[in-house]
Amino acid sequence: MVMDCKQIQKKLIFYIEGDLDSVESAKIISHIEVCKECEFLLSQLKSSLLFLEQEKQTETNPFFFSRVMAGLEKEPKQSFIINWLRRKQYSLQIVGYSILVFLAITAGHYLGKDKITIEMETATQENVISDNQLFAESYQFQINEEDVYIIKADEN
Amino acid sequence: MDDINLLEQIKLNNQKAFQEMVIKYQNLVINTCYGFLHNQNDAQDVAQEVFIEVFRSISKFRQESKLSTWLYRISVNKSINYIRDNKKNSWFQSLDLLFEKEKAVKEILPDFDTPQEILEKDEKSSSIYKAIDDLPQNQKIAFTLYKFENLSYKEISEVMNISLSSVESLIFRSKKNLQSKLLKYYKKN
Repeated sequence: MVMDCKQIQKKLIFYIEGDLDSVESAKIISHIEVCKECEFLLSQLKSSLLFLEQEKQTETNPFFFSRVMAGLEKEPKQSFIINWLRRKQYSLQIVGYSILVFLAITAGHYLGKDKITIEMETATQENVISDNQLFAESYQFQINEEDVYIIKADEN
Repeated sequence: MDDINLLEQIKLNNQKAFQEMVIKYQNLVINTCYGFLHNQNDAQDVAQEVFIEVFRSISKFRQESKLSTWLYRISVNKSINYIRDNKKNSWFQSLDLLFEKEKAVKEILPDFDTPQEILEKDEKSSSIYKAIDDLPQNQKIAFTLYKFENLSYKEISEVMNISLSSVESLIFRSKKNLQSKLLKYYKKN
């Protein structure tokens, strides 16, 4: 069965890594002989994987041990609690900020509630007074001021 | 000195034994870290922390696995933690990588490489490292140990504490995903 480019391109890395059997490998070789695009992609992939091989360090750094010893001497032994705090610092920050936001909302709610209540009570008192007067005027009652029922603010 | 004797001596605070261990396994640890961090300076910094951790935790090592397996495990964990802790700085890290790679390439390559060729090599390294970084974590770990350290599937299973068949599956999927990302990049460019 002749493979098309899509099928070939799915197997290129396995071909490079030697994971394919001889039959599959032969199909790929014969395809790339006639397909410039697949040949190009194969060479690019090969070159990228080869690049990884070349990145490995092979020379020993003669100063590395000194660095390790300097690190050991510099780093004080920290307590379990401090190490735990360092590991959990991000979670603790989230919890801390959440608590602050909650406290701010709660404080705002309670502070705002008293002010609104006072305003509402004042408005209610004024409405009662003006409603009674309007009522009296509408029926042309001769109404004495002392008869208009007023709730004084300092009386319960 | 073999590893068992080395460990016994290090437990007794024998600095010479510790130095011998560091020299013996330095490249193993640095290469493993480099496979994740793609930056020599960062790899050396994390490798330093690995050996400090080893020195501090030597009494806890039960010798149920080989010393090299234990070193691989600590290197992988430290590297993953380093990447996670520095994620917010990843944009600046990638700039450092670009400049450092450029500088390193200029120092190492012979004079007959043109600036165009140097630029192409930088782009190639960025593309493959990005493709590896985009792999799911377990695939990345398995692929890095396989490619950078040439570990066998059995050794990888011991480091990652998973079954052999899981390693085979991870390597297969990592190659497939890597290929997909790289081919997309090559076709685009």
